Amino acid sequence: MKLLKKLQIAALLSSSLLFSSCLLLDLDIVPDFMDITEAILSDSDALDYDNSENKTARVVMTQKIIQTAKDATAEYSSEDEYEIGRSVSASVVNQFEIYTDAPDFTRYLNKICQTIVENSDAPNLYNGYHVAIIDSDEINALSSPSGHIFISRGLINCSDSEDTLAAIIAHEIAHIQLKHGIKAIKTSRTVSSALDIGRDMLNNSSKVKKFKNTLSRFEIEEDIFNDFASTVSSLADTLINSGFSKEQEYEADELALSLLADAGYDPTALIEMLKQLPCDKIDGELLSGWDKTHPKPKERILNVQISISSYSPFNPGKKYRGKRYNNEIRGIK
Amino acid sequence: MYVTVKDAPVNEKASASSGLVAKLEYGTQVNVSQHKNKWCRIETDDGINGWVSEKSLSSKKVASKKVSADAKEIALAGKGWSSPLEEAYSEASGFNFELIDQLENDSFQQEEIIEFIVEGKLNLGGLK
Repeated sequence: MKLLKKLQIAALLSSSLLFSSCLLLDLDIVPDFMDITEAILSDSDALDYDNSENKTARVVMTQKIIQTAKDATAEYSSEDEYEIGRSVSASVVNQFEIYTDAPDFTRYLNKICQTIVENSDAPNLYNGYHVAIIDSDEINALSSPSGHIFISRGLINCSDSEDTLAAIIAHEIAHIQLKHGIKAIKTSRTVSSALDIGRDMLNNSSKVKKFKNTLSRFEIEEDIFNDFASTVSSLADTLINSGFSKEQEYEADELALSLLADAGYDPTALIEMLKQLPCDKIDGELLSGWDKTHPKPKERILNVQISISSYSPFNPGKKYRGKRYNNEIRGIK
Repeated sequence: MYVTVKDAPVNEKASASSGLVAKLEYGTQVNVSQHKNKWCRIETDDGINGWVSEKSLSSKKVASKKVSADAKEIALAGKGWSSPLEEAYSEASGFNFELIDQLENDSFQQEEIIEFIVEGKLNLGGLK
């Protein structure tokens, strides 16, 4: 289904939810459209009213909700993911400056990335995977559904080998291949974003009017644009501020082990990298907001301890990458 | 089957290191006649023959939303990728999409990646 159509349906859903003013739903625990539909149907308040006109309207709305729930849970196409992801990436580079003083080192990171994805089950994103460096001493790494991976200089400085760099990149590739960004969109937008859009629509928000000329030129309906904008900002907020869920972080670590091993890197490098992470503290003061977006390194190490034992510790190729790493890292450290 | 990546390389043989025959755009329909390892032998209605990575194909029909050749595309010429929504969002947000285009402009010759892998005693994977 085309993205515009899906967003149109989402806007319809949001407005229909607002009409059901007697709902007593805790939307935080029903993230999916289908769950919302079922919750509405099971909530007797939604259907128990005295006014016959309201009753008719609400039955119609409920039927629309059922249909939109079915439609809205359809998968995004690879092009949809790319389109949303590009705008999310643009949000990221709006907040963080990209480090462009080490083009050779950036290229080196991208070669590591290509090596990992060529050995993975999903080597072909819509427009491939691309790594860029964030110009910040903070420890940070982000990835967008469009295949863009951002790693801070601070995190790179915590590495001590090509394999530990590969571990950072593999973790971000895992988030993309596990579609955690897209899943975050589906979760957050159905709860808060859709309602906000609906409220804006009903209140004739000045924000909508501000872009009226732009939208008219591109022949885009205001509600569609607002939903797209809200989707992008919601996902950008997740990536930058709140992070993925603990379970998703652990899941990405697990897949990263497999990605590293399949590419020929040492999977234990993930644990080595996690052990390095306290390097973001100087004089006891935390340099980064890393703790906001990721579980504690100790917890992540504990999570992969069982899985790591199934990988061979023997990696004779590591010494061949040592010299290469030492040459390349000089370009940035 | 349909192409699900922006530009899918079509190779002479079922190998990433074999000669490039053509590139297929997102949404192109192909007929698959053979599978070998992780490659599919395809043919298009235009008569393009060759091998495409199976990871670039899907049985689900897809159609590109990219702007067609008209005044809008001319105005957007020079940009890597565009869609009406992104253009509207770019204008409204003031975010720098050109920087994203630059990030995506990095490209590697296959030989360069193979050399990197071999030198580092890593695995060739799909580049075999």
